[in-house]
Amino acid sequence: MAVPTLSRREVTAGLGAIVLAFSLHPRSAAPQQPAPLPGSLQRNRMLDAWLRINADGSATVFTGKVELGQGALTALAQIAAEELDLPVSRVAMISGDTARTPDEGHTSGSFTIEHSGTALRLAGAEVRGILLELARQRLGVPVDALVASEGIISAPDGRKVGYGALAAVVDLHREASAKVAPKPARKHGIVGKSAPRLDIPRKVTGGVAYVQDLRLPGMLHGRVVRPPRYGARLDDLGKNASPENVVAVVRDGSFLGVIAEREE
Amino acid sequence: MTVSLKVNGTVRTVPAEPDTPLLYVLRNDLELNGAKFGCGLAQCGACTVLVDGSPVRSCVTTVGSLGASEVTTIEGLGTIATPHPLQRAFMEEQAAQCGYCINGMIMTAKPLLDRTAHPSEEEVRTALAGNLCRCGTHGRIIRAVLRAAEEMKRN
Repeated sequence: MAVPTLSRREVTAGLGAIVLAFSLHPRSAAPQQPAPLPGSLQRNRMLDAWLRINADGSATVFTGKVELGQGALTALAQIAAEELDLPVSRVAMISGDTARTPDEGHTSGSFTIEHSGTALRLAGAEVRGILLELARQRLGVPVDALVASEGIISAPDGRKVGYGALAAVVDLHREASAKVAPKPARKHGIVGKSAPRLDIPRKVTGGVAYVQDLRLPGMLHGRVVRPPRYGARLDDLGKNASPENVVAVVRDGSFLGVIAEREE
Repeated sequence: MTVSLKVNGTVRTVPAEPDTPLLYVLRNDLELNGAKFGCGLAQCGACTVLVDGSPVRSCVTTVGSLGASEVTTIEGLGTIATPHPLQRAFMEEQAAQCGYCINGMIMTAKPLLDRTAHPSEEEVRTALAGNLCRCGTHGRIIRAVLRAAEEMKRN
């Protein structure tokens, strides 16, 4: 899961901005509507908005859906790992970081697998196809004869090339076609099996796991001051309405909000 | 004004009034994520930490009341690499849905296991009765605590 710490944001802010600028606006300058794509690919059409292959042969997966304890990130990691022929442990999930991930709107209504899962399944299959094609060029063996497993593509004669070596030459900054068939269910080795939740270790050791754990520079805390009962009318703030550390008191009729440097 | 308190074995001095709830100092000043703000009224247990080994609700415990007491948070129990038996058991039993209550479950179970090596399921249920879980993960949580007790017994 993406944990927007300061340092990482600083390091990746430029990269993320570039990715988004291109990924959300595909090159197509054609006047006609782009071809419809399944799931969240429709609105986030570039392969590299979803998947990157790293120099060590691992993959980084981007999703606009977030972990709410429903196991979404684990399931999405399984889907991506399945199509890429990588173990789940070699798939890093970046989630819900608006500077880096696809805009998939809400995480709600049981749409995560349908929308994000569909996109990752198809993008994963397509990326795997691209990697196999690059391996074919490098090894001179037809794609049908190549076997991909755990991030290594092998030819029948035993020669191998890893995803990491292909990562340097693969260009995933292209629009998804959604035309590469994902694996049929009978070939699934990762999807359909229970996997340990990726978010639980952090949640039982005090790691960063919730939106409440974000700490941004200069962050202020806002609270609504609730009345004692429905329909109560705010008469007067009294004299002590702006104690120390309070940055602003917002009043709109009987609505009262306080913005302060400290939470208490 | 500053207040000093001993957290996970280290004395920390923070700029806070003595009547500041411990929870805010832990989360906002010491940047410890383990204890959670749930209700703020000592009703849910998500903010539970240990003070001299006993579970307290940090949302209603003032830093000024601590004196030289030792505060232990879930970060002080163990890490992902070297978890406390309770933390390992919660991972192994996958005993979290949203996970927001789990800090309180673990920090309330810890003193139970410290004083009762072989708790019955009933004793675990009683010890955790004041910790609310809205996801409904109770079955797994109880299994995790019993599993941790088994593991601690072996070691």
